[in-house]
Amino acid sequence: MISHWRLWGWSLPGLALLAALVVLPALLTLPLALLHFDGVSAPRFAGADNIVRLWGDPLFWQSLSNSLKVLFISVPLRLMLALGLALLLHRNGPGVGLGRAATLAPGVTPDIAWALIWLFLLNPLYGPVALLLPLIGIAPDAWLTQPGVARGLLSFMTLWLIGELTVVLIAARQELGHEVYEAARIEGASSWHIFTRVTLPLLMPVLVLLACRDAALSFQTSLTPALIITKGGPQYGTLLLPMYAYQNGFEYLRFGYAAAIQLALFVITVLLIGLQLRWLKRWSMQGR
Amino acid sequence: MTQGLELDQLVVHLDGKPVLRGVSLAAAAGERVVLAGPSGSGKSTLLRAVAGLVPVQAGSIHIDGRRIDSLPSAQRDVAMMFQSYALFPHLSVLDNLTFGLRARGKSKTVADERASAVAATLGLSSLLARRPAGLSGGERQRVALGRALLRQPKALLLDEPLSSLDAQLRSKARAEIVRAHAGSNSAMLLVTHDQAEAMALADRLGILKDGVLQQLAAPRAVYARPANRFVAQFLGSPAMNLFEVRRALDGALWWRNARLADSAEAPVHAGSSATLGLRPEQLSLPGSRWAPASQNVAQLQARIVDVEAGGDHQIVWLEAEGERLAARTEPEWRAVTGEKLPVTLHLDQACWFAPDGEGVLL
Repeated sequence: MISHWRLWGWSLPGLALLAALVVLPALLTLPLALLHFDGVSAPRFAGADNIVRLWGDPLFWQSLSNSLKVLFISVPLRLMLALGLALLLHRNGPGVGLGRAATLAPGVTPDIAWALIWLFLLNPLYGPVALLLPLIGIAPDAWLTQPGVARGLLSFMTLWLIGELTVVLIAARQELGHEVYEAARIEGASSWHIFTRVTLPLLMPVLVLLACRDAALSFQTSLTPALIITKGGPQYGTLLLPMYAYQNGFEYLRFGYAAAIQLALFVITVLLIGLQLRWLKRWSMQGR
Repeated sequence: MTQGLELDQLVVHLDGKPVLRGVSLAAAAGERVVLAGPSGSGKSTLLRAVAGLVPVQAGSIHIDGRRIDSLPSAQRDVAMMFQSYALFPHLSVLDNLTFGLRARGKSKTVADERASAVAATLGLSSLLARRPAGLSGGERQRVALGRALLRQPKALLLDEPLSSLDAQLRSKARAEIVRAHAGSNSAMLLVTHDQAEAMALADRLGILKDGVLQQLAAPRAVYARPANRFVAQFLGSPAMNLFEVRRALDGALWWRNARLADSAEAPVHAGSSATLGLRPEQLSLPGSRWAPASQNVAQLQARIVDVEAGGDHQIVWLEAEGERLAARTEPEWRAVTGEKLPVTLHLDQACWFAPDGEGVLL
């Protein structure tokens, strides 16, 4: 048995790094939101100015709505895809190892790299994906002119980031054991019945937890493609909340205002996760 | 048309290795057939083959004359109770019980009605709303049994159904299985490695070794007249004592350097040898009341090396001719370790095996 203190000792370097790079800046966001600060001149106390302005800022509401739209399209789709893949890949068989690796690969590729690949694929003049878009009735340059199409593509691109979800679901599915499934088969259940009455309910706690995590991550993972490919456009259609914060902070040097946006993002994330955790709790109470 | 379950020359390979090598047996409707054997003997595989969970390489399985070995599990009209019970953890006891009927498209009313009847016989009525996690081991075992019985399958397969229960619950659960199965028309095939369970539950007892059925008979008969040395040693605790005896030309019976009897009745010709099998209760010690009355006896000098107390008996471990032997006496019989004493071998009910260990003489 390893003593408590030694565990803390081993974790200390990592924790210190985390504190310096993540926790401290995150905590600094709160006082920063109360200041006017451009990074050059001395900060001035602003009180609730930034918050009030945020409330009345149409672009803030636009970006919040964009972020939520992307989230509500991509998170359920990603979960469904990951679940399907996990059910295909949880058994050992020919090609399964390759399938698992292929599922995981996009998730461990740097955001910038795959965003640039997509930028090439979507190029209206010679990009292969853009040339295929007319087949489903979309003009090859529609994503440059129509906000809805751009958001759809943005959500579509992040569907490749399901490696971790799939790995967790594969592990969860393997945990379920084969005897329950054998019992279900002998009892006469069809594959669909087994999926809806056995697999899905047994995986539900994991699915809810993954939905929480993926929702929080979705705010971040969608930033890079929005920044690289659509740059917030067209007509602010892909201006996402973190991107709006990024623009205010690092392009307009309005650090106080950017911090206020980040705070809003934080509150929304906490609300979303709280909602899902409540759902999870109710579910697991039923399970007892 | 035969009623019940019938296996004919069943061969099953797992990962290319033969696990069952031509097993034939039949369990009539309403009959309880228990299969016992050491781990790895293929007994669980046999159940899984009947249930359709492993493919059959050769031979056939019939239920009520209908051949089922190539049908999917759901169409075989069998139910199986797993060693781990395999209850659905997210479903209530009621939903666990009715799972099969609901999956087969029966209405909720019909299924619930049947479930409450089964729950009543198994004492589960007050637990119907609970989930498996909230049940004791014994209750889970009864739910699993109830689920298997509910559809009134033609064949009821029980894989080590009591092995997860503690000793006290086991004998109670044994009685419950017998009671719940009584009056049903299912042919029951139960697998266990527990001898007491096998003896108590079986109408007929089969002993399996390395995928071959060694013997299938009434439990008393398997105990008293084992078909070969393996069965003799597998059943009974402590195991049967075995003596390689030979008959001298003068008619005397010898075991190693001990002259057992001048002229005992035994299926051994002068000049040849055989294996004598005696249960611990067929060895009696001087003054012990635990001795069958018999005419045909032999004598042996032995030394007491150990005593094992049981509640209603004791096992006295003896050493003779460099071999350990077990004798059973009443618990009051005073055993002194190291004491040398004459042991009486009662040959009337003895088992005689051919010297190679396969097959029985007499």
